[in-house]
Amino acid sequence: MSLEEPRPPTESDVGVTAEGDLDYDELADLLGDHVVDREQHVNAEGFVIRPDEVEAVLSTLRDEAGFDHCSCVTAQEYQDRYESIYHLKKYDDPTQELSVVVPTPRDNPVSQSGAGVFDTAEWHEREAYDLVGVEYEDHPDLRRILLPETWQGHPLSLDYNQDQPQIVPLREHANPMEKRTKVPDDPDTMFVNIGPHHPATHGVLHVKTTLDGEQIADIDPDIGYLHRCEEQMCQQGTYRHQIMPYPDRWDYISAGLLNEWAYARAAEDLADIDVPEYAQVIRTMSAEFSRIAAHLLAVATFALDIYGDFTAIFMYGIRDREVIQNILEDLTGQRLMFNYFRLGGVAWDLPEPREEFFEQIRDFLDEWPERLEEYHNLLTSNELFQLRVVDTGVLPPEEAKSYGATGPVARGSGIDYDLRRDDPYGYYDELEWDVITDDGCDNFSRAVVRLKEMEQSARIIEQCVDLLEDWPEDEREIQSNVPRTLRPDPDKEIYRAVEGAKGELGIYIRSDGTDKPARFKIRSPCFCNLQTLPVMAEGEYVPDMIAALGSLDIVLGEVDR
Amino acid sequence: MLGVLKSMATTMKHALDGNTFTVEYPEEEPEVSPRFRGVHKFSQERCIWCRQCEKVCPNDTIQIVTDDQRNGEQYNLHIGQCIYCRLCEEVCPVDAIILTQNFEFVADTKDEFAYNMEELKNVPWYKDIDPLESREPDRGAWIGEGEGEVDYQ
Ligand code: SF4
Ligand code: SF4
Repeated sequence: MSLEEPRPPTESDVGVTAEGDLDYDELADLLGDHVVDREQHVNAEGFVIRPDEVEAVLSTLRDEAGFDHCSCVTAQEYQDRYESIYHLKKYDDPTQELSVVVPTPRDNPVSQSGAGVFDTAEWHEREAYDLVGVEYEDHPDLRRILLPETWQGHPLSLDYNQDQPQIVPLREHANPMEKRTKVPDDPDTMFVNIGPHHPATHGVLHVKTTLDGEQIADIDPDIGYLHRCEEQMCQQGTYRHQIMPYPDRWDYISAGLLNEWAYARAAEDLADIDVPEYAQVIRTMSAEFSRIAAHLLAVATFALDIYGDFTAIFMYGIRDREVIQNILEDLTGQRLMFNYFRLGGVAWDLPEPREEFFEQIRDFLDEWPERLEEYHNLLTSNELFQLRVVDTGVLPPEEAKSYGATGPVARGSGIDYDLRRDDPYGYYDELEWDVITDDGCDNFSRAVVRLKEMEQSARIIEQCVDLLEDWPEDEREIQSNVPRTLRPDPDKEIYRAVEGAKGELGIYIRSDGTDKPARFKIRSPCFCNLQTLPVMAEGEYVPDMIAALGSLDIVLGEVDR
Repeated sequence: MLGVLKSMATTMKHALDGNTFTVEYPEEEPEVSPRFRGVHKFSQERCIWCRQCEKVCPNDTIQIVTDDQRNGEQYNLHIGQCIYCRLCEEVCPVDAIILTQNFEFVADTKDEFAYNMEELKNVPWYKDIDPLESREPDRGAWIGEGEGEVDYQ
């Protein structure tokens, strides 16, 4: 597989040794006096900097050290301070990580915004402001993002009173119809609400659109309708048992096992838990089933957006997904909310009789190439489809990187980035498969990438089944020894990501010595990918915006968490 | 144009091949996997009132009331609030709480889903499937045991 190929040389960047590892001392020299202190996180080193030097530090790191991927921004409150952490990576090699830690005093939590360097920081910082209460100076548009504008207090701050009623003053109930179509200062345009209750928005997404004739002059996705503060739920659950059922509910469209893996990977690395090889193979196989199911639904609903035909392709997609769900039901006991992974392994071995189970999978795999060809016939080789999606919703790679796009969205813009290969976990680096990229940068490429990825996933599954069939009976260890109550050492911090169905799904955990995380942050790929919508849609027609939205494949449960 | 024709041919093929994939529920019952997790069944004879299930439940679905001698008085479980994660069954040392494969339940109001001990005992086994056989083959459930015959106390 492509792992064997040498990585593109990143030695030109400052702070990389000849072996391709990061040299943190050199990086610290590069930043000079900006670095106030250095911290050790499990995944990377953290450089503590002053809150008014964020932009300078981030742009130096991006331009001179090659950290072009701002994966996530985590904010949290300590007893004595607020802290924002910028988790930086490289698209060329995501194992080269660096955290930029920005502490701010409790009585004046103001820090400079990083949105001038990384576009993706704009939404991340809005979320940090909304939920934790850190304010970002020079931020282009600092307002709440997940909670309503009228919300009082910041739910993840320490002194937030959960029982405080949220009072909405009368003026908020002004007649919304009055100003509905007027845009201030621009008489030639019209304001239109798209969503939140429209099937084409793939859930409860509200897109505030300003139209100039038929074209989109300005677009602003309004999210948060499905916000459940999953991060807080996880902070209230124990590592060992209570967190695992919830990842299934972030991206609830079949991708549950991939999400569970994100939590499992972060927590296992945090608490030094090994996973038996046999369990890793089962994980890899079942996770790829999840990926196929999720991509199937993405392609099926995309076809629905393009053709508007509810009967054929959508139903074919659902039918094929059903086969996968039956397999996963036999394995995990549930069709969507699997709760199958455990820290240190999986809940159960394959169902008995194993031969029948393998046969079921083989039947699916035998049928699969023909099925995929049908999707290609129905979609990619169909001129009507091409007319609608080729060269619409263009997302240039530089913009994609700046907005932190990952997954099929990034790969459809020609960015060769897949954590399964670049930051290997599970059993992926032992198997033969390819990372799919496409240089088209348009709606068409993103659909093609998904279709081809399903083919690769089937390859992975096939190899896993071969391995599982021949696995010696006395070595079928599904779970390593994990204490009943897990208490990772206090003040350990980790940020780990896996390749979810929609892209890089990252988890940040800080432990405080108890059996529950002190801070649990979810880096949702859909959240970042959705930020690219204005790039793709502005200047286009409304139907092309709908196509672009469909090609992003967002799940609002994961955007809003 | 060729692509459009190919696409239409694909749809026609499926329209005419006469295969149906769907099931006419409720006339015909869908297949349920032996591992499927549905409504709980509780055995008072087995329970040792250790409260582990109550403690592990991620969303406080289980409520146990004991007297000051730690003898069980109530066992309540809200099957409408439950997320069917099966952690309660996983931690129970005596398999007193088990998820059957029953997936059908209806009620007029939400509070009818707050099952008490009696209601939980009366949840039937689904098609006589032993839920533990496929999940924890070395444990085996009490599907064969008559109600009330076993006394573990
Ligand atoms: S059902 Fe099981 S876990 Fe719950 S109190 Fe009874 S014996 Fe303990
Ligand atoms: S299945 Fe999960 S949510 Fe339901 S009662 Fe058991 S532990 Fe609680």
